[in-house]
Amino acid sequence: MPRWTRKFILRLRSLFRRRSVERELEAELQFHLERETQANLARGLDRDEAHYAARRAMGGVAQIREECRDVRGVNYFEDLGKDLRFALRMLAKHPGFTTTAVLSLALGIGANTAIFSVVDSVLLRPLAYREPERLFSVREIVPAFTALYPTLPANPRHMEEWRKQWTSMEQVAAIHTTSLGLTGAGEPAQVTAGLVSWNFFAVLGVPPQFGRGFVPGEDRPGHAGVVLLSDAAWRGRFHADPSITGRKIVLDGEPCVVAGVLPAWFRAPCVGFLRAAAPADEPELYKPLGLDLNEYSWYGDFNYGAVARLKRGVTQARALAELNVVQARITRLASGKQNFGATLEPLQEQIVGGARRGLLILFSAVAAVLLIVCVNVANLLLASAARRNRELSIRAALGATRRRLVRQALTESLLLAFLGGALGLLLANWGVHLLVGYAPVDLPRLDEIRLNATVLLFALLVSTIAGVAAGILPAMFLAPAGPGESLKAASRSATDDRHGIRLRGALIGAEVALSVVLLVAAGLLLGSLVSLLHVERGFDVNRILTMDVTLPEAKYRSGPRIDSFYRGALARIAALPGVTSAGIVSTLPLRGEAWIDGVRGDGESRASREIALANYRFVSPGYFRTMGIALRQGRTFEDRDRGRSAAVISARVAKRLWPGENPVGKRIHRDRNVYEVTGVADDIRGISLRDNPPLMVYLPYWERPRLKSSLVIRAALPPAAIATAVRREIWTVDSGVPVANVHTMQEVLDGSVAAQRFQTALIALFAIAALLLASIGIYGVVSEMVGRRTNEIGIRMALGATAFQIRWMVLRQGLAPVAAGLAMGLAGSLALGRAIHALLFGVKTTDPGIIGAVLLLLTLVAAAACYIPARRATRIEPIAALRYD
Amino acid sequence: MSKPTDLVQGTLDLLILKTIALEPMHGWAVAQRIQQTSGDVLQVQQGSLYPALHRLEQQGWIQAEWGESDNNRRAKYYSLTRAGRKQLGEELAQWQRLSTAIGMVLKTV
Repeated sequence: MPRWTRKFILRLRSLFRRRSVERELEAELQFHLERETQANLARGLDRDEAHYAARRAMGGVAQIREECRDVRGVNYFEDLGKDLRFALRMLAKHPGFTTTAVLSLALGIGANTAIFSVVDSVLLRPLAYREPERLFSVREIVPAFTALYPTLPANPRHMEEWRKQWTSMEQVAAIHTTSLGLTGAGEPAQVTAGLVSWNFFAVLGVPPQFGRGFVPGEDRPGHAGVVLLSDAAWRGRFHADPSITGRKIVLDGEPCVVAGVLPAWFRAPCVGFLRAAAPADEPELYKPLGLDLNEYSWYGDFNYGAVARLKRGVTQARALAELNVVQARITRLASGKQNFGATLEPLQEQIVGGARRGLLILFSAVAAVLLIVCVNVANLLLASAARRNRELSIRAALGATRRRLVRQALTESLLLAFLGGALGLLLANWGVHLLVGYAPVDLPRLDEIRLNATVLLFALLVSTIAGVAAGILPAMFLAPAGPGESLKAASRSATDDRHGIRLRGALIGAEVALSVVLLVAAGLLLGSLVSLLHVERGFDVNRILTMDVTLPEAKYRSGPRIDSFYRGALARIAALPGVTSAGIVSTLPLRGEAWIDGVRGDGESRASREIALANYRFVSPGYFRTMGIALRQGRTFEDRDRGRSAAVISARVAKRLWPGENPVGKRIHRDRNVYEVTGVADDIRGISLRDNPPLMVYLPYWERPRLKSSLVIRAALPPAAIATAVRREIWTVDSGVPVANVHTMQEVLDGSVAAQRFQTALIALFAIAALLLASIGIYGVVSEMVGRRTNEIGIRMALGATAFQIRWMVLRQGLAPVAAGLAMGLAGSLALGRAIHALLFGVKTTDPGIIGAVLLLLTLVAAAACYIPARRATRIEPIAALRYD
Repeated sequence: MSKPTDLVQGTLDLLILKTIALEPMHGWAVAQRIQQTSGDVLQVQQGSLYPALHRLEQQGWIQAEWGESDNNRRAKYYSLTRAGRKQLGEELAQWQRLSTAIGMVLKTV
């Protein structure tokens, strides 16, 4: 029998056949005694003598038995049971201590678990693609645009070449997110749709939950009349109809057949945006792209998100090197005007990347709170261990080893942590509901956040770590070095337990430092939010109503038809009572970048890489007045400018093209189109509040009539009150036009900072929790100190110390570790500033106001926490104190 | 009662392995044999003998079997396992090295 099997069987036997193992040990020792007695008899001792001599020689039978058990590993489990029972008794005996410890652990573990469950649902699980480590997002480097956009989504013609020549890639798929008008399923609606190459879901490794996926050839033009529904759309718009496959729906006027429904967990990777982290609406349905490659040039249309699945075993570096070779060939094919490059980013990074820093900070904050909880519990344990010093000494004197005592102490703290963890799970369950209730609506998969097996495992892990973290210090420091020493120490009334007090001071310092860092982080984020909301926007948000309309393509095939719809609708809306003015715009402010193209002044002959890139907006003349965008020079275009190719440029464009000159009357070029500048508008923060105002060119909407536009309406009444009337007017012009996203501009603004507001609120919440916990910790330690020194304080007062002197002494000693903690916290928050720099807006990381306020706040709270026990100390009756032991 | 030091414990293991290498033996006999063969120099502390035997068994170097003793009592007999025999060889070699080394040091000083 091999050795390890033998060992294993023995282990099992000692564990499960404990009774018979014990009997055998008993018999073995008995046999030994008998033989020894016999030997002694043979040496001529009398019967009793022989027996006693044998016993003496043997020593303590109990000890031998104990050691044999130890060797067999039996004791491990027995001790665990004993320790647990003992720990339970101790906790039950000190309900105040137990309640405080369990509650604070529950808070810490609960908060961590709640945040983790959000992270798990929102960020970790959407990555459930097949072999995600082989999936990469491919973006292109186009020298002409690198000034503004270091990388761009892919050009479809380039992708076609990759398909042919890029050998380390197994497949590459494309996605383009757009918005389509859905009819034939209840009210006309505007839905976000993913236009994908046929192999998109195959590349990701996502089969539909039923029905079929797309097949080769379905992304050719004219064959694209099939659609895959997301689970959400299937449930929300089609009542989870199980026989949905084969049903016809109409998208932008074009009939499509439902081929299948995607699994509920599926979320599209965000790969198709100008900026990697651009927030995206999750597509409700997917349709094949249907591209005619001949319509695309080599140079434009960098609009398609590309996902590549690399071949097994190919490294990212090699794949990229090969891709760049292909890009060089494309450069030659495209007659070499641009040197195209490419980047590869693991899809996982791409998805998590944007949210990573924010989440990391959130996680760090909540982990810091847990750390403070652990410190508090460690402090409580230290105090209780100090009270139990005599008990520990007796146990040591009776033969408990140091290791055994440490284990006992750890069992206690772990028990506390698991009790706290169980309660924390309940709290987390409740907290998650709260989070879901208050989270910004654009947090994806909000409805699916819940506690699951992963989260339970996480809670267990965190509880264990918390238990060990809280228990290890007290256990190590207070398990007495030797029985004699500790009995000596215990016989004195502990006026000078310097070791314990100093350790607890250090813990308080750590707690304060962590609180400082958290409060500074919260302060900086709050400051950023405030300055973000008060930044000079350049447009109004009050009393402005917005909504999106999408004209069905089938009915609105020509520019003039679209134009007449908008003209009719705008005229009717503007005539409504309570409406001051109305306009349309191709993309609302704060909805990100759109329609970026070069803008050149007349006669300008810069190298292509130096051409200024501007955001183009197609607007109606009333847009400026409605949004409150001021004109600096000239006038807006008006209806009489139809056919004249007029444009309004933003002040930055004017400054860029014609610094110091009056641009009105000059001409700008977009590709081969020429527009005459009629006016200069103020710069606005059109992309997001955070981004500086972009170069902006406004063209009349009739220059390029668009099916999709946003309506903006300035109202004299509360905007919500006129929404119904506005919709009615639109449907009077055409009842088949879907109207979506009816919001006030204030709501659009709030929505654009919702994630930040939410994050800031959470961090502020954690910081306040940290502050409370720290003050409780300080209060606990100082009270404890006062309690222990009752005797001494009594003597001092009997000898004539004034109340002021006593209070000052307690305050000074209580605040000394706080001061150290403040200093450490200050250093920590300077380091933190660098970490969260990118999240800040309009505040410096070293903002003296915020940091000063935090330090002051903490000092005040700490002083208050010290003052209560300090006052109690002076109320001590000297006589009572002297009798106190 | 002070515990045997590591050196003594390690040595005890070696002595036990060597002793039962000859034939299966019960605990009392192991103690007797060690005492006798060492010319009464080595007294095996019985407080450490049984834990040592159990530890060696637990480690798989020796195995135990109940058998009849010479006076017709049931006794627990220990014998070497194959792994134990190998272990004995290693520990012997180790011991030789150690004692030679100590001897050399003592001679030069």
